[in-house]
Amino acid sequence: VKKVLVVDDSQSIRTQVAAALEPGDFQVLGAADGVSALQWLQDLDDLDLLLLDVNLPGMSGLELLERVMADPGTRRIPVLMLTTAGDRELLERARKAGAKGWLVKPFNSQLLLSTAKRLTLSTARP
Amino acid sequence: MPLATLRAIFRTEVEELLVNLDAALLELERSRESDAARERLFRAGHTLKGIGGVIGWIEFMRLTAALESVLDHLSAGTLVASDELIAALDAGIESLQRMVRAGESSEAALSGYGSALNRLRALEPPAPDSLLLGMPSLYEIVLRFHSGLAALSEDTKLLLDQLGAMGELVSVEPLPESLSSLERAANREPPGLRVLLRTAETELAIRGVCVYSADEDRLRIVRLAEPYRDVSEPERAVRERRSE
Repeated sequence: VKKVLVVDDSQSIRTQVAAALEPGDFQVLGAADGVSALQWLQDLDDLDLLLLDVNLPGMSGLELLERVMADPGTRRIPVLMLTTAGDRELLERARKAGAKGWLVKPFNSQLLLSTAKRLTLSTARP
Repeated sequence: MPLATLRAIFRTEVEELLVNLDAALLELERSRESDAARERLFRAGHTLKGIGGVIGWIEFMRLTAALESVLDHLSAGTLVASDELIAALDAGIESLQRMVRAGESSEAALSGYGSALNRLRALEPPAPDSLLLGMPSLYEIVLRFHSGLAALSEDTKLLLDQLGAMGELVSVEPLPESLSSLERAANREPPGLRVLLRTAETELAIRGVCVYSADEDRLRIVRLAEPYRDVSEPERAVRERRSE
């Protein structure tokens, strides 16, 4: 079972992610903001994937991404941005900061599952 | 997780967001220059658009996308808080409230939907991608894999799974050798793919999936054909207004 942390202020999105990934052998944890996400990241050392909303309240998704990438303990975790905004420049900044790509909301569950499988391919553990 | 649970969470969250939107709109109506009201509207509209697709209701997605677009312009200062804008936002919120109360299987849900959508779109010409929400286009995707991929064949399979989840894979073929004499001489041309994909997703969404495989300079995504359009009333009205 691979562990995924989804950071999004919408409960519907967090629930949609859990509903899509749990049947695919993922364990989905949720955080509604950056501060809660950092707490999870401190507590867990076996996270396989991080899904980050770009437009989080308080600490933005981009700021959180930069903190994750700056920490040697978490920078190995693949990060995928979730966005509703068509802000190409912001997404390109996220990619340069270390994000593996992005999904534009609304997204379908099949796409989310295949994306999670792909991004956790290199983090697979025996 | 049962779909009914997801729908219940969706409905509760949407109702809360619509209450927030309504309150922020009232605040804006009283104080037209209020940055706080604009920010509240923008944030609630943004979240609403984000969850608009959770249950796959296309009319709901279109209306929340149009609402968010107007709120985005209002937040950026490219639209002002005129009476017309406030009335259009109010109509949009009211229509969304009616939709979520009635449920997607009810005919009553769409009462006033087309008119609310048109009023929002009339404030700001919609971007092509927004106008075509839900309608598939044909895209050509050409990419060459960057060298950092650990397991190319497995990754390629999963990339095609992702693209397939976005729509219909019309064709997939390996790229012919590069025309770059420099790379050919160095014999280091990475393998690549040319994919034809029919999808209702935007170019930006396709790019978000492909950037894991290929850097910007090795990735090209082109919309090849006009999408198939089942022109419904709101879109037809926008077209007619534009041609006047």
